[in-house]
Amino acid sequence: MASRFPSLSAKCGSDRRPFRTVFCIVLVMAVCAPLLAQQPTAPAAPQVLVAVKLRDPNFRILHIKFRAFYNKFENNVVPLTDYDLAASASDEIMNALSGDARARWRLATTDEKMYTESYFDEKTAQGNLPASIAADRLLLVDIGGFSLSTHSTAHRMFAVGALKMIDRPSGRILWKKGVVHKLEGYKGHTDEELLADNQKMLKELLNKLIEEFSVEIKKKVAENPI
Amino acid sequence: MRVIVGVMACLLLASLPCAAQGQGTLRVKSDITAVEVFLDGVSRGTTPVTIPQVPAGTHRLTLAKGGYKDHVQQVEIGAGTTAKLFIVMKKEEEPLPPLPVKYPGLHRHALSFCAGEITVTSEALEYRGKDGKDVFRIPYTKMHAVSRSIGASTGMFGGPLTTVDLMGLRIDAEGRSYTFWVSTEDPSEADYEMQARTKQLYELVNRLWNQALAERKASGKKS
Repeated sequence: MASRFPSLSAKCGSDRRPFRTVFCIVLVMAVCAPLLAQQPTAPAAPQVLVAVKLRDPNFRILHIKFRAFYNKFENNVVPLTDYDLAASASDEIMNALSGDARARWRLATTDEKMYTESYFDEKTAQGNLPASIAADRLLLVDIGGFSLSTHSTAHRMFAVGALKMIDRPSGRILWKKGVVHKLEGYKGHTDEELLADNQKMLKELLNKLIEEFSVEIKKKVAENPI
Repeated sequence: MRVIVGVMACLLLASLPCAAQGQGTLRVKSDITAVEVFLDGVSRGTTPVTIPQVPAGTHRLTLAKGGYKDHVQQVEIGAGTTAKLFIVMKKEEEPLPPLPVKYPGLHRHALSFCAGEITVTSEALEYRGKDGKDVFRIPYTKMHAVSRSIGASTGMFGGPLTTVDLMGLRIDAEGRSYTFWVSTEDPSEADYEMQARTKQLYELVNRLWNQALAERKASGKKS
């Protein structure tokens, strides 16, 4: 039967067939190679609901004066103006944890916090997350607060917290860790320097402390199973 | 043959990782949350925000929120790097209450308290005890710190820990420190009333002290 497309038939004649075959094989290989190179589908990473609680939203300064027979202490509290420490800490912790690919991290919403709150108290009954909340694990980040301890030459700005990983289906505590972090390289400032200009220096130092504290939390989480 | 080579070259290029050439990341945070961020005049969300794929070079960053002064600055973005910024926003000036303001107050001594009247003027905080013996004036320019505290305590271990609401106004000035509560000494006065008034006094004095510091800084004087 004569071809309806003589010109095309002439081009793809028997003399061009080997090239066409090679072309097709190369094309198929090029398309399939990236797909074959991919790892076999891994089981889905567990979803971890992260609940952050800040016990003290203010900044505490503990002045200590050592004497021969007694010590003098003063707990000063600086209410932070226009600085949402809890929101800032939550964001930075999530930013740090997002680098851990072992799980899918999700920050508890305001509504979800209503249910996660009871987990922070060990005496309260566990496992009362409603089924509508999607999570395989629950990471509780319990931050005590941000403080400065100061006496004569030693000045330590630090954050204290505790971590707890809970298996959601069983309510079992998988692990618990304490976290204490001291701001690196802090040499001390006068109260006036810290508080002047709408607490600018204090806020900048707190931001640095939160960043370092979040990295410390990430390290602690990385050391433990999820 | 040329067709095969061309197709293979195209496929090879397409399979290479899409390496972003000359781009960086910008992370912007601020003390208050939900401040709108503009990069080169284009809105990029609210703080805290991470802006990926920013072309390397100098950009104009603007932060804006109602009730606060706009913050404008230039940022340098390097290729393949993340620039981090933390901005402290400045509040727009609100009018001060008409001064002087008077409060019934308690002044803490080393071992006791005395009752009197606290007067906040534009230059200083003044106190006058009811018996007329305890009278002093603390100019804002002489204050070193304004905070909340119940005052110093002595002993081997740390002082008592209490909530900030129960704490008084603490002023560290040249030579000594002062602690005040705003209280009428009326037994029917609820605790929360005393706490609310003391907080109000703290906020007013803190604001006036910050103003004095800003004026001193502007005039270039040293403390």
